[in-house]
Amino acid sequence: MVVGAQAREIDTVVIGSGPGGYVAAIRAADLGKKVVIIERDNIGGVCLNIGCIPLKALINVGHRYREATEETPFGLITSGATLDWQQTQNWKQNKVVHTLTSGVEMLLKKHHVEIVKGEAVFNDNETVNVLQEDGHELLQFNNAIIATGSRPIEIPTIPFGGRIVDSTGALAFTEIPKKLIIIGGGVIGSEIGGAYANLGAQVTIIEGLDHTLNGFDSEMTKPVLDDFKAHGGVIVTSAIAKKATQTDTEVTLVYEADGKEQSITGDYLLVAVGRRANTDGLGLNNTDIKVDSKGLIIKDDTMRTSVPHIYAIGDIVAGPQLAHKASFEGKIAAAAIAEDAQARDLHYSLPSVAYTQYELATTGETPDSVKVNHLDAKISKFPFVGNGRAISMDQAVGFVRLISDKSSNALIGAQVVGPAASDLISELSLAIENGLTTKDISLTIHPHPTLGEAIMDAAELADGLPIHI
Amino acid sequence: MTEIFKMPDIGEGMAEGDITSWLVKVGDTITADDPVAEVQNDKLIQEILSPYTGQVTKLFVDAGTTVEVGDPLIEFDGDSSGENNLDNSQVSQSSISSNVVETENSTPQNTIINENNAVQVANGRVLAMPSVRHLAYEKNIDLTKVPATGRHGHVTLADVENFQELDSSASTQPKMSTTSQHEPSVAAYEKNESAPVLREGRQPMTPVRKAIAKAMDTQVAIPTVTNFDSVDVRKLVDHRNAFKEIARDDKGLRLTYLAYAVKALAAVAKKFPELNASVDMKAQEIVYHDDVNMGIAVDSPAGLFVPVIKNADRKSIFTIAQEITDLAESVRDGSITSNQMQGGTITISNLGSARGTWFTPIINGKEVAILGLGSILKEPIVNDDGELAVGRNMKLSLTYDHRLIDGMLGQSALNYLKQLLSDPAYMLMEV
Ligand SMILES: Cc1cc2nc3c(=O)[nH]c(=O)nc-3n(C[C@H](O)[C@H](O)[C@H](O)COP(=O)(O)OP(=O)(O)OC[C@H]3O[C@@H](n4cnc5c(N)ncnc54)[C@H](O)[C@@H]3O)c2cc1C
Repeated sequence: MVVGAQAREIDTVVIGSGPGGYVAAIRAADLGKKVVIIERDNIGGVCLNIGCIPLKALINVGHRYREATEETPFGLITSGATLDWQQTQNWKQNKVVHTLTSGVEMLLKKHHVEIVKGEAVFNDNETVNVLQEDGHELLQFNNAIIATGSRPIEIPTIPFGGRIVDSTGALAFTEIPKKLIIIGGGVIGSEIGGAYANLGAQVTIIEGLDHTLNGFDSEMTKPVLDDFKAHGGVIVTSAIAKKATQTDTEVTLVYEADGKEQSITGDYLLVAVGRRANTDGLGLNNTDIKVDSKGLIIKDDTMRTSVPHIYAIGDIVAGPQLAHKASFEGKIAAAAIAEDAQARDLHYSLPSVAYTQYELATTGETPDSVKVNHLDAKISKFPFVGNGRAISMDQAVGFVRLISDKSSNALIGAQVVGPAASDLISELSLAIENGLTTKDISLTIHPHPTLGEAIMDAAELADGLPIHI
Repeated sequence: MTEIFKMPDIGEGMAEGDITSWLVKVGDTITADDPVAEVQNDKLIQEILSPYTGQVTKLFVDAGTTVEVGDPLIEFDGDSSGENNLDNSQVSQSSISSNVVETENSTPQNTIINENNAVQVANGRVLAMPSVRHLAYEKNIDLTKVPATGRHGHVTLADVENFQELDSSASTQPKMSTTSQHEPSVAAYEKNESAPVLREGRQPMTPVRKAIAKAMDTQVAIPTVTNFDSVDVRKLVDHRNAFKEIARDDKGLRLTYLAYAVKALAAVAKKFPELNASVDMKAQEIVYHDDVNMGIAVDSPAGLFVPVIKNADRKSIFTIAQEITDLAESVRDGSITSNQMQGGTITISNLGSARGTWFTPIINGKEVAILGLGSILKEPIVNDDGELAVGRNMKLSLTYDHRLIDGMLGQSALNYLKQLLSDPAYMLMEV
């Protein structure tokens, strides 16, 4: 459908419907703006369709499968447990992903956000061209929010295709790999590797750095890596992937480690070496929007780009590529457009989680940042082996670690490794944002028996009056 | 040789003053030019200096007493040297700092108001909840500068709100009755997480409170009318947004709506001279003023002050913004002089920064009109195209002396003010 050269006037256009874009669109609409959201693929972006959500679904299946097939110390024997992988995939796609993405579509409609399908390309600072299969539509906007997210980086010598897959491919395997090779031991590689290891795959991770799970310190990652190795996983660090060859049934990767060339063969190869911002192909060269050397759009802390009425959020701007960061930034951009008071990034802590066998979560300062910045801080750590709930769940692994300011005792950072770390970290972020002290935490009654008690215990430890240690 | 030091004329035609505290006691030996007492005069606390060198043998009055110029204050036994120094230089301006007020009758829990207790933790952050940080940002306040009264040095919402009142020269008539060293503001009562300290019984008024109460007392007899109105200031909001960064970056000043309002009201005062006048009932005359000297009601922990921007009609908005900041700062640090508070011909009082809407301002001094500025609220309006839109409505309350100004004139003046505030471009053409 050719709408013609006459541009339609829209107050606010949002490009991309991931956790950054759809949240920004809804918030801007609620703040009184007329909003159009443009999406070339599926509503919900990477996170809902091919990222966080479907991967967490598979990780959950991995946990349950492992529980059902491993001996338990408490004597539960589920003999002959099997997994119907096709059903797993259907469930993940139809019950999990579809429920959420159609829910987001509903939300957008409910908040009167118009959805325009197609690929957005900027014509200039005021107009965007939406390319559709059978035509294009020109939209002239007063404000725009760019939230086009990111895509997997391809290693030129190891192009995607066949048995060489990106994360999207790895989530959609039609069978559980027997031998899975993963290039890249970051969070995505480690999460996918852990999930398939639990599902019975023999997983090898080839990592260029001297450690995996960058962003979490070795004290945190140790229980995860120990478990991974105990379940047949192999990690090769300081290794450079060179090239890969494949047949109908297998794929062989050549890499260099310990100064020698080595090779490994598996039935699938996942390349998870990072994600590139989707800023090329957006027509930014037709605008005055500035990008940095990595192709990330430069913005200020109201998310405003070098063109004042165009904002940028999520994976296409600096900072960790996280869904909750994208959403938070989306709300700021929407507020800025609506001249709302919340229009500035004033956060103190950005939590980050890895859904590995034992979950890793961090927020605010870390022991490393304390050292690097010479902060006068106190570190207190309470292990889950001292927590009744963790023991009763047979998951007494990991710890809660608090980092508090020495003079005021205010919490400035925290890490959790172990059961439900992804949920526990929220309490700690809340404490940091609100300037709570370790006293405030220890004076808060935590229900018993819960994993959260470990936070109270760690706080008491910081106050010098521990009960359970 | 015995000398009697009498209450000097401490300037500004003042006939009497309160001895708020003695700085000497019987038996002290002092030299000429030593401060001997603090005297409260029309909201200013001044130190009076000794004209004599010698030993104090008697204090004629107790602290807290009102004395008239010429009343005996101190009996000296000394050499009477320095007697000729008795001139105005012996009255030194001293700050209205909290410790001055404290000396009289403050209780310990009230003493931290002027101290910056905000805790900055190791990584440079201030202990304040996200909503508090946002409020501070919204009000353009540097959180590290806000005195913290919360637990463990937390900056509370009330702290930021109160700080804003000082900082933006914002003030309100209603708040006068609640903000003082002894009575934390209403906001502090409402928002402070810790339970308010209840004080049954009687408390002496602070000197500043007395001065305000006295000034207000004399206004009760004036027959006033207050017209309430509201104006859509979307263009003004845009204008300020466009210029506030320039103001900050180029000139290092805070461009507030108050500065625009001062300019606009000054133009109104020019066009409607009745608003820039005084009534002399004795002579049955109207006194018109040539200059437009705009009083700005400024709140401080000690009470309400009304410094004056002289010739506001002839100053640029940037200059006015700068003067507002400077005057508010002087009020806050106590360096304000009575000279800076005199000669006002019309006054503006701002409740907007405290989120107030309409109120009934009370005329100041011998003036005949006062404008109360309320918040700018997002409200539904019907725009020029007859459609429902989100407006930015600024609330206005104009109180005037009905002896001189009738309702029609009052509203005409208010209409002109609205016109100026609704479009900065128009303001540019007119003022
Ligand atoms: C396997 C995997 C697991 C992950 N797990 C987590 C996790 O557990 N927690 C977490 O916080 N983060 C996780 N992430 C990261 C998270 O998905 C991203 O940070 C997040 O999706 C970024 O959101 P966004 O809104 O910036 O962009 P995206 O979600 O990438 O959305 C961008 C959207 O824009 C569309 N688009 C792009 N260009 C155009 C154009 N020109 N015109 C129109 N539309 C366009 C795209 O089709 C896409 O739908 C994971 C990522 C992956 C790949």
